[in-house]
Amino acid sequence: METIYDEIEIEDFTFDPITQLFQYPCPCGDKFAVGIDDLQDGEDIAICPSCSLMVRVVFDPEDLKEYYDQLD
Amino acid sequence: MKYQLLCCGSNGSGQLGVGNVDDHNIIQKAGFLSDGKDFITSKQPISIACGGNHTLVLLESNEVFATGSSESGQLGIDTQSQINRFLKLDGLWKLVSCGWEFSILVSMDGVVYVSGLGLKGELGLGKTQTRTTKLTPISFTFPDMIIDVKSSMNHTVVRLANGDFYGWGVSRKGQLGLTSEKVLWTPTKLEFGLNPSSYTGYSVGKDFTVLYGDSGLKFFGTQDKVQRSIQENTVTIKSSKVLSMWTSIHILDGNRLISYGNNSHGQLFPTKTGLPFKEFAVGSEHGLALTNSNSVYAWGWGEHGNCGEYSETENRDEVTFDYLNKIYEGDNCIAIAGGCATSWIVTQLV
Ligand SMILES: [Zn+2]
Repeated sequence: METIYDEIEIEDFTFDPITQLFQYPCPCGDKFAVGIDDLQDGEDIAICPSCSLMVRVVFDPEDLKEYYDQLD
Repeated sequence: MKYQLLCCGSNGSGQLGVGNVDDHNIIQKAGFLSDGKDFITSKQPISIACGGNHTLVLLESNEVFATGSSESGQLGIDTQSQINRFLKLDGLWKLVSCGWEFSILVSMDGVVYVSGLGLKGELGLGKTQTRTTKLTPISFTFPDMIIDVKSSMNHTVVRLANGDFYGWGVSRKGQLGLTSEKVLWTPTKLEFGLNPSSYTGYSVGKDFTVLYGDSGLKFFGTQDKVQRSIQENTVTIKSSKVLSMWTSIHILDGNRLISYGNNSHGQLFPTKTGLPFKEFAVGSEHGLALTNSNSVYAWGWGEHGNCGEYSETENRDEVTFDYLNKIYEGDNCIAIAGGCATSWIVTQLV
């Protein structure tokens, strides 16, 4: 079983409408990332490309609407 | 007397200042950018501040040397995206701190200069300036001298000589005390309940600030696991020193270290293998202890080599150092510091 390092509220992530990624600092210096469509599909884990740490994204599905609106 | 700077750990942006961008799990010698020589100086390093991917070293001569990423302007030099050895910054400085992608430097006459990126008030320059690639003064006059500055991922707390606390950055979780604002965009006097002078010290972690003194320990912000432990253990310890990783706190109680909070990767001090130590330091998710015999041990999350080489083979992963792992042996280590998966050692050369 993988250990979840921390739980982070979606509001604390930075959303980039270009890459459609939510990002949040990782203690290694890189950033945890998860795509908005992955969250929509029920995924709630953001991973870091530089290390094994993972965080759980705390959100309600309806929270995603305001971010989808930024894509237009 | 000469002093040397040594290090190991995460180095993808040159934040170790060792002349490359490889992670290191064996202690390395940091170097100067100017001549490529080892970081050896007759002026003692007195403060080492680390951001997500950059490092500042303050010498007793008030000179500051910087290395690592300046992608967001955090080094205050807008010539390159990163440097991988230490470069001397212009000016003389009294205090330094670093957050995720920003640097805070206090000048000799008490003016706070900032550089880098802070979308949520981290620069303290107001809502309209969230990025600067050169050291920029905050136009705010503090009512007394600044004696301490500490930053975590995205908030900064300074202490004045009169005991008052001022801060800026993200305040939504309560990490900047009693305020209804989500962000404090400029330096603001902070309210931490009690009279500020009842606190002897403070420490900042991700989303929280912890203050301590004769009346015990007070926690402001959020970090569920720390808060739960504090409640369960009704912390009344009168500690001389409390340090914070991103998601845990570490309280010096006599010669014991008591840790509360996130233990996902062995961050809580492994007391079962305790040994006498005279100094300790923490990074984002790891800790360092300097023993009475001047050796340095590491514990916690060590995926990038910041806790040295993994030596306990029975464990499944090789990133959780839930034991004290020796990273430096010698009789000349005088100071230690931790950053974002980086470890720092200052030795005395005789
Ligand atoms: Zn990482």
